[in-house]
Amino acid sequence: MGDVKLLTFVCNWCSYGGADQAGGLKVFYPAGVRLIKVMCSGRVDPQMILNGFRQGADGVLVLGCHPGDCHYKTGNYSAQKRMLLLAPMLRQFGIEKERFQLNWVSAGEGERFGKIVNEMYATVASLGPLHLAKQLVEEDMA
Amino acid sequence: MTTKVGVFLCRCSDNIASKVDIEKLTADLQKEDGVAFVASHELLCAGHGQEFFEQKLKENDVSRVVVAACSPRDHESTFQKCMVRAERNRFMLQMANIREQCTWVTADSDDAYAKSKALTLAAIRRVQLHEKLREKEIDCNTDVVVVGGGIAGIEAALGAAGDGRKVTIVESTPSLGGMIVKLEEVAPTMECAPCMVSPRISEIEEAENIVVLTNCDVDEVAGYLGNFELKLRQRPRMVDEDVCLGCDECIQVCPVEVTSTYDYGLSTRKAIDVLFPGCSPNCAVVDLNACLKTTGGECNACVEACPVEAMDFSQKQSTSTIRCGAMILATGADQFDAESMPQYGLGTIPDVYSYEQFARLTSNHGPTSGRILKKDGTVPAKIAFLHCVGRASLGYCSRHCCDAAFGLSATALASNEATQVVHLMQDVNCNGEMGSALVRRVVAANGMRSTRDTLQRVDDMSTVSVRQNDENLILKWVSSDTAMHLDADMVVLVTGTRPSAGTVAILQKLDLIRTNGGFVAPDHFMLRPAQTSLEGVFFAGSIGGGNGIADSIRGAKAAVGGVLSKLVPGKKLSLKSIVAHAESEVCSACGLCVQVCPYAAVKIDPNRKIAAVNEVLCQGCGTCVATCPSGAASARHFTAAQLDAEVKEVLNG
Repeated sequence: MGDVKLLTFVCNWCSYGGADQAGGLKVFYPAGVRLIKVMCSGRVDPQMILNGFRQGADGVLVLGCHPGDCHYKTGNYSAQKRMLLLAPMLRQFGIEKERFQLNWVSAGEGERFGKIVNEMYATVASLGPLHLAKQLVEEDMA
Repeated sequence: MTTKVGVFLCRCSDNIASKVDIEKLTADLQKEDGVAFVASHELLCAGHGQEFFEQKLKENDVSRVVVAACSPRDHESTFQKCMVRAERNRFMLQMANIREQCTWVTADSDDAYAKSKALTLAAIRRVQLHEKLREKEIDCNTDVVVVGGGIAGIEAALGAAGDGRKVTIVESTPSLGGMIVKLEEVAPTMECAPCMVSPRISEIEEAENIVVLTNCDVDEVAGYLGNFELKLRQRPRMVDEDVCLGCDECIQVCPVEVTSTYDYGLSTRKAIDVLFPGCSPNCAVVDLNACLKTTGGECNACVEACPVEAMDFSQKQSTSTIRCGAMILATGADQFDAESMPQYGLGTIPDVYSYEQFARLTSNHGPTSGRILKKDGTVPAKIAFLHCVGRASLGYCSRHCCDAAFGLSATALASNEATQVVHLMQDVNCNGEMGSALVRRVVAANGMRSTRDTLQRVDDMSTVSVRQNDENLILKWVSSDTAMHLDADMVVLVTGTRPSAGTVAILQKLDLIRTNGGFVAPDHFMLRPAQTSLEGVFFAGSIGGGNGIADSIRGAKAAVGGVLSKLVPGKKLSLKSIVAHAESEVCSACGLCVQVCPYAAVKIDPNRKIAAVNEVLCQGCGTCVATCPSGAASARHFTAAQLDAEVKEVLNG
C-alpha cells in the first residue's frame, strides 16, 4: 500500500465517538488516516475540503451522524446537500471522485468506522498520491 | 510571547508510551517554534498528574496549553478544570488524541510516532490561534405560559404552579376543560371524566399564582428561552366575569337559538349560554355572531333578566402583552372530518354518528342526557363501530382511537341490555394490560358466539359504504376479494386525529418543526419527547398527535420537568461559549444562514441589514458558517483559521 494521507473530518457527537470506539476495540487502520474534529458535519464547507487537498491530503472523508440522528437535527443534511454539489466539481480540479466521500458513523460504530476508513484508505492508496496542478496549489497558497 | 504553548505529553501508564517514545517526542517538540516547554507525565489525569499540570503552569508564563493524551471525550473537562484552577481560560487548551486515535489503532511504532507528532503539532498550531472565550450568563424570566386549557394544559399549569412559578393559561374557548369535559366514562379504565377533571379545575381556580385568560388567543410571540414576550388578544364575552353567578336567567330569556358546535350539531343552544355546566370560569358568554344586540338587532332580554347586572355590552376586544421564560403548548387535536368521505353517510344518514357526536350521546350532560337511542326513539339493537376512518388519507394510525371506541362501546353495552356492538377494524390497537382488558370486557358483555362476531377485520376501511335500508342500515365492503355485508341500526365512525385549528395557528406563529401530519415534532423523538424545536417551548397532549388522557398527563409532567430544570428562579441562564457570530462589515444579509439554522437562532436585523446570531438559541453546530458565501459567519473555537492551521499540520509526517 502506498503512503497516502486520508484527511477525515469527524463530527463531535457521532463519528468522533465512533473513532474513539474503534480505538477502544483496537480496530487497526493506517496511520495516514488523520482526523479533524468539527462540532457538526454541517460545519464542513467545500473550501475546507479543497484546502485539504491543496495542503497535501490524497483523499478527504467527511463523517457525520446518520441521517435523522444529527445532534443538531439537520446539520448533516446541510452537509449532504453541499457535498452533492462539490463532488462533480472535484473532477474539474483533476481530483478523482474516489478521493472524496461523505459517510455516516454513529458513536457506537467503532467497527464501521474502521471498515470505512480502511476501505477508503485502500482506494486512495491504489490511486496513489494526488498530484494537483502545481499552478493550482501555488495560486491558492499565495 | 503570548502565543507560546505549554505541551503536556501523557504516557497513560503504558497505553501510549509502549508505542510512542515519549522522550524522543519531548525532545523533538522542544525544537519547534512557539513551544515554551514540553513536559511528560506518567498519568496526567490522576490527582498527582493534575497537580503536576497546575504546578507547571505556575512556573511558566504560558496561556496556551496542549495536552497530548487520551480522547477529549475522556478528559478534556478534567484539564479544562485544571486550566481554570491555574487561572487560565479553559478555551486556551487543545487536546491531541494520541491514544484512541493513534497508539491504539496503529500497528507500527514508527507510524504511531509520526502520527502522534503530527497530531500534537497540529494541536499546537491550532491553540496558538485560540481566543479566550467568555462564559456568559443572562438574567431570565421564570414565569410560564400554558397555551390551551384542556387536560394537558391544566396538568401542566398545576405542575409548574406547584413549584411556585407564576403561570398564565391562555385558552381560546370561553372555558377551561378541553375535550375531556365532553366525555363521560373514559377508556381504558372507564373512569368518570368529569370526576377526574373537575377537582383539578377547582385547584386552578384556587391557586394564587395561576391566571386563566379565556376567549383569548396568542397573536404574536417574540424572544427566546428565558425572555419570551407574547401579544394576546382577548375576545369580549359581554358578561363581567367577576360578577356573573353562572345562573341561567339570561339563557332562559334569550330569544335566539343556534346550532351547538359544542355538541357537534346534535343540539341547539341560546345566543347567550354557559359552555357546559360547571365550566370555568362559571360565567355566561355571548355568541357575537348570533346575538341580536351584537349583530345590529334590538333586544335587551338578558340585560333585563340578569339578577346581578353582570351583562356588559360595552366590552371590546382587548390586547395585552405578557412576558415569560418558557411556554408549554397544549392546543390539542381535532377529529378527521368524516363528512369528506360521503360513502359513510355522515350528515346524510340520520343514525350515522361521528365518534365525537356519539361521545356526546353517552354524556349525562349531552344532548340526550346520556340515552343512546335511534333518531326514531327506539333502542338500537346493533351498533357498528367503523375504526380507522380517514386513516388512509391521514397517512397514520392515530393510536388512541381504538381505546376510545371500545370505551364508547362498553358504555353503550352497559346502557342498554338489548344493544349489541360490532367493531369493523383494520387492526386492533388497544395496547397494554388495560387496553387488552377493555377489549375482553366488550367482547364478554356483547354476548355473541365468538370474538370474531364482535371484532371483524376489514382489509381497507375506505372500501366500506353505509346505505339506509327501509328498516335499518346496511354496511358493505370487500375483504380478501369477497363481498361482505352487515346490518346495523346505528353506525359510529371512529375517526383519526388531525391537528386542531389552535395547534395549526400556534405552530405557524412560532415556526416550529412539524410532523408530516402537521402535529408538533418533538426536538428528539426519544431523548426530548416533550420539547419542541425551539428552546424553552415545550408541549403536552394531542398537539403532538392523538393522545389518551394518561399520555396527555404524562406529557404535561414531562414538559413541566423540562421547564423547571431549564429555568431556576434566582439562577442566571448560562450560555454556550462555542457559538456562531457574524462580521457586520462583510455580511450582505443574503439570509442563507437563516435558512439552514436548525434552531432559528439567526435572524436578519432589518435595521442594520446584517445577520444577527441569538447566542441563547445558537447551539454552535457551525452549519451557518459553512453556508455563508461571504465568510461573514464564524464559529467560535472552530474558526476557519484554526481549522486550516490544524489541517495543514496534521497532514505532515
